Amino acid sequence: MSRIVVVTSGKGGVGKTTTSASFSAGLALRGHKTVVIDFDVGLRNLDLIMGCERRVVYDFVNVIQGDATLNQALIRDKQLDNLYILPASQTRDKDALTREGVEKVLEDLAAMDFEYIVCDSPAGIETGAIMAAYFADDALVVTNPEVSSVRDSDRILGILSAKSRRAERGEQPVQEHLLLTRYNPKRVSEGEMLSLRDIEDILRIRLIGVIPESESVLQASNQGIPAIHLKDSDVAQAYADVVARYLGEEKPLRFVDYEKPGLFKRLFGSK
Amino acid sequence: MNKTAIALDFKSATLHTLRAVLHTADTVSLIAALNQRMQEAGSFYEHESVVLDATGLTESPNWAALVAAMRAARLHPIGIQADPALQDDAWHTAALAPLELSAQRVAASAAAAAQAAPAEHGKAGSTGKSARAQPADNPLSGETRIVRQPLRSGQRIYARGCDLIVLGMVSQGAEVIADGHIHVYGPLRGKAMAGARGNEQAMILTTHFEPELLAIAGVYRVFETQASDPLYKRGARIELEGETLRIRALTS
Repeated sequence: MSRIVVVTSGKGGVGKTTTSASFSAGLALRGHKTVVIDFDVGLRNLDLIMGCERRVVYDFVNVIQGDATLNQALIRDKQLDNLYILPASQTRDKDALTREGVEKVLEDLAAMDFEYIVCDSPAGIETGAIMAAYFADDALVVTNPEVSSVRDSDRILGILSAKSRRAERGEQPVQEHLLLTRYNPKRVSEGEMLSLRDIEDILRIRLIGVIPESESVLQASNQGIPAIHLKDSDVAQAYADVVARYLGEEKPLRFVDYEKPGLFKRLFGSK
Repeated sequence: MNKTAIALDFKSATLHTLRAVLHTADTVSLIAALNQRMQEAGSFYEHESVVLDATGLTESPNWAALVAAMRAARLHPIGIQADPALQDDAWHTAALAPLELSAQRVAASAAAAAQAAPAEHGKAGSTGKSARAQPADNPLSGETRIVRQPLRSGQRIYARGCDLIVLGMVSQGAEVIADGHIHVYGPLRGKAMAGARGNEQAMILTTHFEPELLAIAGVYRVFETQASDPLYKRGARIELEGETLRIRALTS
């Protein structure tokens, strides 16, 4: 029985695709057969971040419309044997994603023994985002510590609680997890950014992790590998912690405190 | 058994509806006032069923034009109460059922004084008086509506004909509306509008006072700077006194 996880946010540019890539890679690293699907029809990015943009032959819409089988469209990740990518179409429009079509693809993936199906949602609250979230069991709500991102996350949480299949059927609601990204503890301590306590108070959903602001993210996307593979970076470790917590382990929050450097470091040290 | 005989049944029902009280037979003024009220109310009265109360009129306006204007404003006129002398074929053409509202008789009885909605006070968002077809001392006949999840930005709940209880927070950008009282056991950060059809006795109560906007029976107030308010994030109860919203501590 596969678990469907949607990575959503409402606001654009907060780190959904970055998270989808590292989260699914993280699950695969832990031995789980995982597929990550790009739901952003027309503006696909996941293939770039995963480094498989030159291997896209068939896409999600091709499968739904019967032009290709799932096997033909799925791309196996270079680094991890049990990680697959289903890219979005770059040329079609969002109406090509029908509810029945998406449902069939998800059922077929479950039949292929995928344990986790990660759905990378587009930004916004229109059909694309709603389609990505409709079948979800879990939701990672990606939020930046910034007022408009928090409000948009609140909005998308409302939509998840009302417009998901679980909501419509009166089943157990979609399990919501707050993921804070681009967190900068120094700016939080200076009062420029919302703290994680503030955001938890406003949104009132469980925090699954904090990903620090880091140059590694850009490096990773330029190299075409999910950030979690840059083993020594803070971002990779933070994503690994998120995956661990998702799988039920207790991990203390890292990268959330700002320590003012001592006098010498401030005089002679770097930033 | 004859199948067509059991295909349809007539049963009884009670309808709570809006009543548009006509104060003049001048059609032009009526339509102008109608449009102004509807504009003030925003989408609040859209798709509501309405009965026309022409009991105060001695001559007829242009019924067809009036009904057409109401439909254009997205109201559904369903009937009319008027002096039998004004009975007109136009009513039938406009699909208005001649009615006798029970609210009239109830309002005339003893306990009605507290419930009479004063027509003189200009209140934002009221279109005429609402029909109180329920017992005069209890304007709300419905069972309290209870919401057990937090309400998020963009969501709106309307508890029609009853009180509303929210067990959880009302986020900024969310709206809670009730014909009766509103209780929020959690942070009230959005908009709360009690007494939506004119019940001035309605109250708003919350354990964490941080609203964007509050209204009782159409009298509203916006809250811009709150951190200085002594009741900020504390328990509060809000009632209408005359034309002002009075905010007190929930527990003294």
